[in-house]
Amino acid sequence: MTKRGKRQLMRTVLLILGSLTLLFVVAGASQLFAGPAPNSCLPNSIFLLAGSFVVLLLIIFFCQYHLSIDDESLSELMETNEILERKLEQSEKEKQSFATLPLEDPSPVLRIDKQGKILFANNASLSLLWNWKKYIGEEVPKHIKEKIIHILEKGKNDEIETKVRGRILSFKVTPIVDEGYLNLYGRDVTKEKEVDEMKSEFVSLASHQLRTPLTGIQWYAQLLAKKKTGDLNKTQEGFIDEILGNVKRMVKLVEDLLNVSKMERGEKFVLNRQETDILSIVREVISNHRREAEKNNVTITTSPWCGESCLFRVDKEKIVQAFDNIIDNAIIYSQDGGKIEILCHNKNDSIDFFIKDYGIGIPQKQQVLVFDRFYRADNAKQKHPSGTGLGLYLAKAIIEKHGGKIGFISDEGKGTTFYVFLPKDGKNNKAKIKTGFLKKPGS
Amino acid sequence: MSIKVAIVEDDKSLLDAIAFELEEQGYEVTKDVDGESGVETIKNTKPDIILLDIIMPRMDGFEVLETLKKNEALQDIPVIILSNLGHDADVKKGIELGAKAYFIKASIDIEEMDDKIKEILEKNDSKKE
Repeated sequence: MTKRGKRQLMRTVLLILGSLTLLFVVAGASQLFAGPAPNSCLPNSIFLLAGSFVVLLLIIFFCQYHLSIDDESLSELMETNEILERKLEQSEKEKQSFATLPLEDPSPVLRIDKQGKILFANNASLSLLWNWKKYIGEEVPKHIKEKIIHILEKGKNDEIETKVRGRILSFKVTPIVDEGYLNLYGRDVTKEKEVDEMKSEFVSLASHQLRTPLTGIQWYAQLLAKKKTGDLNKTQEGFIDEILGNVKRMVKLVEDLLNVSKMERGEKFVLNRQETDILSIVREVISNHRREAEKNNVTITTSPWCGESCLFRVDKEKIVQAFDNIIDNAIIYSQDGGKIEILCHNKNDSIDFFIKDYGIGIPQKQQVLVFDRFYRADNAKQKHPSGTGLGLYLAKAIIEKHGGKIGFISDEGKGTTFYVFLPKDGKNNKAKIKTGFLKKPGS
Repeated sequence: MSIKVAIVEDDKSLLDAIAFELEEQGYEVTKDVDGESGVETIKNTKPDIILLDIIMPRMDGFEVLETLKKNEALQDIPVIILSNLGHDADVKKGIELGAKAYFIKASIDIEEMDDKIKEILEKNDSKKE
């Protein structure tokens, strides 16, 4: 039986014994003073009083027993209490030591509220606060405040960078929207930036240095091709064409590398926008690819086309580069004897293009990575080992810089349809693509 | 009368190729391999148009442009920059210093030069009128 059960039983027994004692005392007393009732079956008062005495002894015994149970419980309780106190103390100590974890973190950790006020800053953040000339409880500088408030409004993790005494700190900003504050976890990225900078500078320099000899090869081959120095036989003409084709590829590769290096250096695309007929740009790109398509035994069709001309404010060179890369891919990854359909849908204030091939497609699991820098899908690497993985990365950057959108649907083994949406004013990028054109390739 | 073109380009190979092409097209060509001698030739020959490289010994293309723009007799001669330096900042600087066009050599076909030159000259003439 449990202690609680025993105590319950003791209380019941004591209650019964108490009632019996009271009964015996009342009966005994009444017989003692009033004399026994005639024909009463009750024992005489002496027996009753003796009975009361026995019952009283029993009560005392049970009380003793009850108290011993309580003593036992009390000592157990005290023991438990001691254990709990010890545990509490231990947990307090642990809590305190964990509480110092962000304080002792060698990287800066900050908490900032929605008004931009610094709620917490660990030791490693002190140089930053010193640089800002701010204390805990004060507001962060305006440029930081604007950024973090924006991040809190968006409710999504983001990153910000700031410079402190020649060092570059990158902060991962985690908004805790419900609590109305943000946690900032910093990292010194100075070294990484320096290496990146050196790498980009090298690529940039190497690319510029590559351009000059390439220009020489290209120009002299063009002079030969134009027969300025005498007639050529068919084979010689073919060879010169090959030289020119390869030089063009090399020039394009250098161009792509330079653009990526520019983007890595944080130089944003500066668009040289001019009123240009977007349809003629795309037509020109298609026409420049016809020979390559023929060589790959691929047919390009462009019907139904959407009107004669369509004036948009775009950077012609960059738009050419974007479409160049998309159409290049469509040709390279088409099957022998395949076809490419290029369609457009003119919506007056914007235009959609669809470049549909029936080629190798993109494996489902790798589709999410296709626009990443240097990324190449497995089947793309197999079909065309010498690609760079820069084409779509740059195409996306160019289209988005024009306020547009680029995307695709693809079925591995059946083909891919890329769509490009371009707004006329270069601003509206919220318009919806007319999805009717986006039937799965091969369907 | 043939159009006089001053080409200032430090890469001898490219200089010869473009001079060959333009002479074939009937232009009268002068060739210089550095900025300083280029300015001298331009002063002496007063060409109709200048094809100018940027990275050159002694005086670079930007300095040549600045020198020309300070000289009243030469400041109206249209200049086309032909360079493989393609940073947006370089292009911006060239145009701000007064160049009429900026082309990346590697991205231009040699046979396009004739059209480009005529286009710039036409624009320049129509502005003068």
